[in-house]
Formats: sequence, structure tokens, C-alpha cells
Amino acid sequence: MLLALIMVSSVQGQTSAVTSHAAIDCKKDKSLSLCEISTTNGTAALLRQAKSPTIAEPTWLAQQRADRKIEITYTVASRGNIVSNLDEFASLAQSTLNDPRGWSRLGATFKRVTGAADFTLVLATADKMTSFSAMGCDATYSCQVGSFVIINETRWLNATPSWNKAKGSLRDYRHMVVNHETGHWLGHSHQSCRAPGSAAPVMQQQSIDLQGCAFNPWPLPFELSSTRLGVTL
Amino acid sequence: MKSLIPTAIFRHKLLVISIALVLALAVGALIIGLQGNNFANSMQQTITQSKSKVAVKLDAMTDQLKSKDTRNKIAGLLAVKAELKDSITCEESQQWWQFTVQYGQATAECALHRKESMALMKGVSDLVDLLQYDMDTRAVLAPALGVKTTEEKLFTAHRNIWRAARDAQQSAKPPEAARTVNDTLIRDLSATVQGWDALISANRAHDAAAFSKAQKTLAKTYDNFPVRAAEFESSLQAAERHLLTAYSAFIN
Repeated sequence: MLLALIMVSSVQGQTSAVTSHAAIDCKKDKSLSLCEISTTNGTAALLRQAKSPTIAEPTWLAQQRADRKIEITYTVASRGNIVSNLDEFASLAQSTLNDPRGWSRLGATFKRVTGAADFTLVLATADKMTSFSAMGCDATYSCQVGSFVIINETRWLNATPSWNKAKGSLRDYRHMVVNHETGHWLGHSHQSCRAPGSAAPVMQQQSIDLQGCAFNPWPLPFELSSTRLGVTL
Repeated sequence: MKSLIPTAIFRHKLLVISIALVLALAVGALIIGLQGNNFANSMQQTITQSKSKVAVKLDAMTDQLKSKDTRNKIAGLLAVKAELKDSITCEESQQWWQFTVQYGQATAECALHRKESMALMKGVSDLVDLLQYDMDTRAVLAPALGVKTTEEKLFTAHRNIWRAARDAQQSAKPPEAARTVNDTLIRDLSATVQGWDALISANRAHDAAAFSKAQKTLAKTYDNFPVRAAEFESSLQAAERHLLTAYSAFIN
């Protein structure tokens, strides 16, 4: 009875030691003072922007590059009943190969010869492309097989739908295709667009798809090497 | 007949005494109950006030806690911690109502409140320690990561900045929650120092191939840092989650 009285008298003062609580949901209320407290302009923000510094080429390296004299010889030939002017083709190819924006930055000079040469630059009709290699070449695009750097005449005359759609000029396409196929001869394989909007690597298959890159006929700095010539970056 | 009268009087008295005794006991119990009730109410009020004070302090500190500046966040959290320190004592009583149910319940509630306050204080302290470590680390890394371009004559100076950063992190005393990320960061910093060492050696030797290789290796070591950024962020987020959980328990 006593206990009952005590219990009865304590109804008001009864408290429960066991309480249930709802977790704070910061997604629902970001204004809560303890929410997003971990968002700081601290180490994470700094680390996220970490980027390797641009290292200027040391003077001795620039000198070594300038002193390097590599002469590459090539001949010009045609295959099939081409309708293009071969001299015009040879002339543009010569200026492309020795352009200061091109592979000449490897320290190489491309010399056209008539006899034995390091490679043969061929302008071939589409139907003759597979005569160089049934596997490595097709009638649609240009290719490189062994010591042959082969330019598909159809592409030489018309570029490609993808290139034309991007409003690239025919002259730039011709620079690009000569550089691209010669790049294979120098030892390069294909590259992909590195960042949309940036210049496409010359070793990207720009004839097929620009992948969001801007067309570019010249090798990019990171492409300036050649396993065939033993030239590293 | 004679013998019955005293017995009746005696019985009557006994009844009166019994009733009086029961009434006295009932009144006593009621008083004890009421006192216990008062005590429980008073303690409940103390706990409610304590919660309210901390909540008010948190509100007052909102601007500082929401600031992007880590120093402000730390100051805000320390103010909350100071408020918490005052809020965790519960009055204990040695009075005669200490055996009541109310007293037992009130003291149990107080013990729970103290435990929740301690957990919240630990949550605040842990986050403060982590923010302090984060701020110190940023100060150490900023000069090294601030280098955007460099040339031959500055290679050694830049390597030395990285070396200083690595040494500083090696001697840092990170909180438990940041120990792993600090160890990894030290490894990353060491790799970058080694990368600079290799570049300097190749530069001295005028070795083009070694220089090219060192350049690539060095560039790769920088790729580790954005990964580390995510780890720094997640350790802070984990501390924030713990704090929120502790606060939810405390305030409800």
C-alpha cells in the first residue's frame, strides 16, 4: 500500500531513463550548425588541385636536341591509276615532313632520294591499298606497312566525312595524314583524345573520329619521340 | 458483562491507534513521495536546462561552425565544448527520499545524461583534433604544392621544400583517426622527394633519357595527392557523423 502511494504520488515526476532519439539528418536540414562542419577549405581542397609543375627544358637538353642531326631518306612512288599530280603530292609531303611544327622537332631531316631509302611514301588508289597488306590496309583509309607509308588517294583528294564535318581544311588533312602515317613508321601506335576541346594527338585516328578533340595535323609535345630513331622525350 | 467492557474499550483503542498509525504512515509516504518527486523534477529541469544551454550555444556558434575557415570552426567547437563541461554534473542527494523510485529514476537519467554529454564532448574533441591536424597539414603542404612552374636552377630548392614537408609530416602527431592517412601521406611525400632527387641527378649528369624518365616518374607522384584528398575528406566526414550521432543522443 505504501509503495502504491509513493508510486501514485510520483506520477508527475516520473521520468524515463531510456529515451529514444531520432538521428539528425543533414540532408534534410543543412542549416543545422553541426551539419557540413567537415566541409573546409583545408588539406583536401589543396590536395585536390595538386598538379605536377611544368618543368622548363634545361638549357643542356635544348642544346642536345638542337645538336641532334638525324637524316631520314625517303622515296616517293605511286600505285594504281592515280589522278592526282604526284609532284604536287611529293612537294606537300616534303614540306609537311620538314615543317618546324612536325616530326622535324625530333631533330630529324627528311630527305627525298631516288635510290635506296629508309621508307617509301606511296600515293595509292583505293583499290590498290590492300595490295600492301590485306590485314593492315583497307580501301577506306591510309596505312603503313613495313617501309611503306601509304596515302589513300581518295582521302588525299576528299579528306574524310568526319574531318569535313568538323570543318577541317583539306590542306590540314593532308598534313595530318602524312604525319600520322609517318608517325607509325617512326614507331608510334594510336592515341586517343586526352581532353575534349583540346588539340587531338596526331596519332589519334582523326580520319575516323575526333572524339571531341579539335583537329590537329602536328605532333603534340608528348608525341615527340621515336622508338625507330631511338629518340626519347 | 463486566468483563466485556474493558475488552471493547481496548479493542476500540487498538483500532484508533491502528488507523492513526496507518494514516501517519500514509502521510509519511506521501511526503517522501512528494519530496522524491520534487527532486526528480528539479533534476529533470537541470538536465533540460543543460541541453538547452548547449543547443543555444550551438546556435550562437552557427556562423563560426559554417565558416570555411578552419580556425573559426575550431573556435566554435571549443566554445560548445566549454558549455558542455559545465553541463555534465548532476546533484546527488543523501536525503531520506533517496530510496524512492523517483530518486532512482532521476539519478539513472542523470547518469545517462552525463554519459551522453561525455560522448558529445569526445565527439567535439575528436573533430577539433582532426581539424587542427588538417589545418597544420595544409600549412605544411601549401608551399610545396604552390609550385606551378620550375626551371633548372630551382630544382634543388623545390626538392628541399618537399623534403621539409615530408619531415614536418613525419614529426607531426596526428590524432588516431588521421594516423593512417598521415602514414600514407608521408609515403607520397617521400616518393615526390625521390622523384625530385632523380630529376636533379639526371640534370647534373646531362642524361636526356634519365631526365625524361625522371620527369615522368615525378609527374606520377603528384597523381597520388588528389587520392589522398578524398581520404582526408572522409576522415573528417566520419568525425562529423560521430559528432552528429552523439548530439542526437544528447539533445533528445
